[in-house]
Amino acid sequence: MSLVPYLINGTAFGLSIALIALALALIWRTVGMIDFGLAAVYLITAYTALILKTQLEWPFLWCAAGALIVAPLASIGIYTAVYRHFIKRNSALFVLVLVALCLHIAVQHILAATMSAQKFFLIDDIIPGWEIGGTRLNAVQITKMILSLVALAGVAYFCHRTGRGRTILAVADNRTLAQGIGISTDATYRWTYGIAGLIVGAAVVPEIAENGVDPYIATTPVFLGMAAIIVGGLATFTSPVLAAVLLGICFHLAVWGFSSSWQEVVTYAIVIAVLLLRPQGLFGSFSPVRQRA
Amino acid sequence: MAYIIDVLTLTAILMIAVHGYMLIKGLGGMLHLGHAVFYGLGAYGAAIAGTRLLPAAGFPAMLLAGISLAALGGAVVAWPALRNRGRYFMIVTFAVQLIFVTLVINLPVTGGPDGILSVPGLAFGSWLSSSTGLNIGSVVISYPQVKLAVMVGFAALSFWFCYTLIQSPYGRLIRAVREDDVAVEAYGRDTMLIKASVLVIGAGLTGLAGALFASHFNYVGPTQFELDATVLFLVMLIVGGQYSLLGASVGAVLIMALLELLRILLDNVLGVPFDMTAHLRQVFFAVALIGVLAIRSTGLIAERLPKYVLPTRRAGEAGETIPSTVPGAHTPVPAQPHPATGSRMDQQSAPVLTCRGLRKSFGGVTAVADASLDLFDGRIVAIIGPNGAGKTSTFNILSGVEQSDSGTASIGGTSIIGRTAAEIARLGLARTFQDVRVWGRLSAIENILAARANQHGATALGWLAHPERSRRDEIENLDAAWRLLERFGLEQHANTPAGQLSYAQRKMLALARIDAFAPRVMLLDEPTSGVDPRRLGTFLEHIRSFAECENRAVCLVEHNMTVVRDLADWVVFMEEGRVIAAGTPADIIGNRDLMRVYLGHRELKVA
Repeated sequence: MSLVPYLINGTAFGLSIALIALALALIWRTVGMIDFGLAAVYLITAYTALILKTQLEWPFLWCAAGALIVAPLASIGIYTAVYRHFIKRNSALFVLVLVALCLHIAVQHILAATMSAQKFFLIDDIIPGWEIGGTRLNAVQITKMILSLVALAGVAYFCHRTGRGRTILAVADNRTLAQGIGISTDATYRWTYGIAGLIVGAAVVPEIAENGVDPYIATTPVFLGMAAIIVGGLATFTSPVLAAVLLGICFHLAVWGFSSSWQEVVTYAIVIAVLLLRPQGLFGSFSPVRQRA
Repeated sequence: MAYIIDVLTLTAILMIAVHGYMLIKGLGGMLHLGHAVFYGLGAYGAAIAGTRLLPAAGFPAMLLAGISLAALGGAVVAWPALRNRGRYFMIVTFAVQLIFVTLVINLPVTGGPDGILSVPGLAFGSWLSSSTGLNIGSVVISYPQVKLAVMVGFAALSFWFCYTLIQSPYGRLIRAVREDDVAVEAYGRDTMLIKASVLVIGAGLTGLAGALFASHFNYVGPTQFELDATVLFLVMLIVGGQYSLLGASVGAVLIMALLELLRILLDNVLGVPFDMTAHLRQVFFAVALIGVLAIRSTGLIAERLPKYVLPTRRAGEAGETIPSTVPGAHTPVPAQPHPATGSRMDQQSAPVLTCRGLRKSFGGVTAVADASLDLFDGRIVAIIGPNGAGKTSTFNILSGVEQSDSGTASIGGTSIIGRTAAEIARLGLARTFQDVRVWGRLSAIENILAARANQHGATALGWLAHPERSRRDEIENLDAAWRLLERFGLEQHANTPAGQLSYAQRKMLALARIDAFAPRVMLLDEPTSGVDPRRLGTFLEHIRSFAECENRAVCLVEHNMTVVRDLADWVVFMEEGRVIAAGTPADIIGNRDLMRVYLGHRELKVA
């Protein structure tokens, strides 16, 4: 059996995970928390697109645009309404993780209870595709890869070439020093959550176009995004991105080597192996307790 | 009625699982996000044993199988999760939680997605769950009632076990590790082993709950042990109070009661469809947890420290004759002290600690370039030098907190290079820290007790296997601890959490604690910094007594030249990681060039 299709699909999947990993890394380095609450943003974005499609009957591109507007707003809203209270009190990392995890669970089950647990698709037509490297890639999959690369480049540009981006990097590097020179951490955090929300939105839109919407779609990408941070490290923002691609490939190679039911076991086993052998991450240093114990 | 009995039975089972969580998270301070895994391992262990390996009346063996499998799971998780001081514990346990369900779905032995059916219920001797009930005289107790009584009995047993553990020297040490594991290692304890043991015990207890759960429902399946189950346990623990055993128990009862109220509200009052209620229950868990964390993150019931009472035979003495200073405190330092050396050997006796050419770099920064030192029994050596001279780094190397890049060091002829802090402490070296590092949520007397070396009950095995000897040791240690508190003027604060003491009191407690360990070599890192000048004399008398009355080799890092002049037999001057001079206090402090380097360091650098 040829490996090439698995590698191509794995890379496509990895690029999608890379966006989530980047959003998580941005928050982790800047705010100092593991934000599983991005899964809530993921779901809110996906269901916004679905509601616009099914209730208002907007065309898909309009739905996608609407979802991309809602994603950062949802992220900022969650920070303002929930996280800020805990961050201000300098809560421990464990508390922040629990709060974020609870937000994810709450939103997931609210949607399951009110919107039905079944899967809905946004594109009913057959999507055109092409044969590449022995595997068939459709227009959405190709768009997803291109969009991921564009989004990654866009974030890099924003962080390194704009004043607000540099402010985020400054707070990520040394919050106390940044405060000392007059940078408002609260405003920076809002921007960070906004950007992270937008990145998540960029990952969600092509994903739901390809695979549809249900209340459980956020779990795997967000947890794999976290796994990418652990595997790649947080030395630079490119570390988790590279690790996400690597994990995406492993995720699909697990199907080639075992079966689809072992995908998660193989992927998280890699995470544990990395923590055992190189806890600082494959591509640089990693510290889950950088700012909070 | 049957439904209420069923709910109460489940509550008792869940309470045991929350007790296990309390041991791991509350007592041990480990950020654990995979508790449902241990619960699941217990349930599957019991179910597999009960359906495939054991005869029909093998209920006790089923429980043992569940406990063993979960404890084994705890041991397996401990290895990757507790490396690097457990920094990755939360992530590893979370990853294990995510893997577990997928794993049991894929394994044939666990019954795949269908789980394991027909798990045997309770059975004692010839009495089986299939019997109609128990006949006690004219009273017939139904099977569900028997089951409830048994589960409540197990919950009570679990409470007693945990209570005894928490109150034991072992429990006290676990709490010390939770507060500051580096300080615990400085007193000769292997913190990885302590954490691993409490994880195994907590996992085993949770495994018992899982095994009882399997026999209660006669079924186990993968969906019962997903992340949602861990969140349920977390809600129970955190709502009740994660640092309190009573809180953990109350949390389990309270959440179960609230869930039942919610069920009644949703089903009977609001008429919510059945398929929605399960989701809304999960929403309730999540929102309740966020609410409790926002309002009262310590939960309803706070941790209660054990109260120790001054023994009656000592209370009278304490009221009248507790010395404000130490015995022999006014014994003067010999006018011509024996020449302890920076690098020169004493002529009369061999040094107890000796080091040569220590070097340590952090990246491009050399903290210690060339440090050499000799310490002698009954002598005090002071290390002075400007900030950044490498004084504390030298202490860190000697005490095993950091490993040197090169050089030699030995205590009593045994090399300490490459040894852990705990191993070095066991060789007879203890230290205090510049930032005090008392165990904040242990009382003052508990700080003393936890530091004492001679405690049979301070290990899980010692406490479990020899309870009588542990009790005897504890009585002796308590007596010694009270004496120390009296000597250091802290007896009135014996039951005060160390974190609530004033800075000077914490400094004093650090001295009492190191004395409790009775080391041969004491490294005191700025023991008097920040102390009110009026109390300075008391500190000096205590430090002097360590050398003069107890014949310990004392080395202190100090910036106060009055203290150095008053205490030290020998002074070592460090600059930029090197020992550049050593001599008597008069030689060093009287050397204007050295003092200019020390006091005018910054100006010289600028110039």
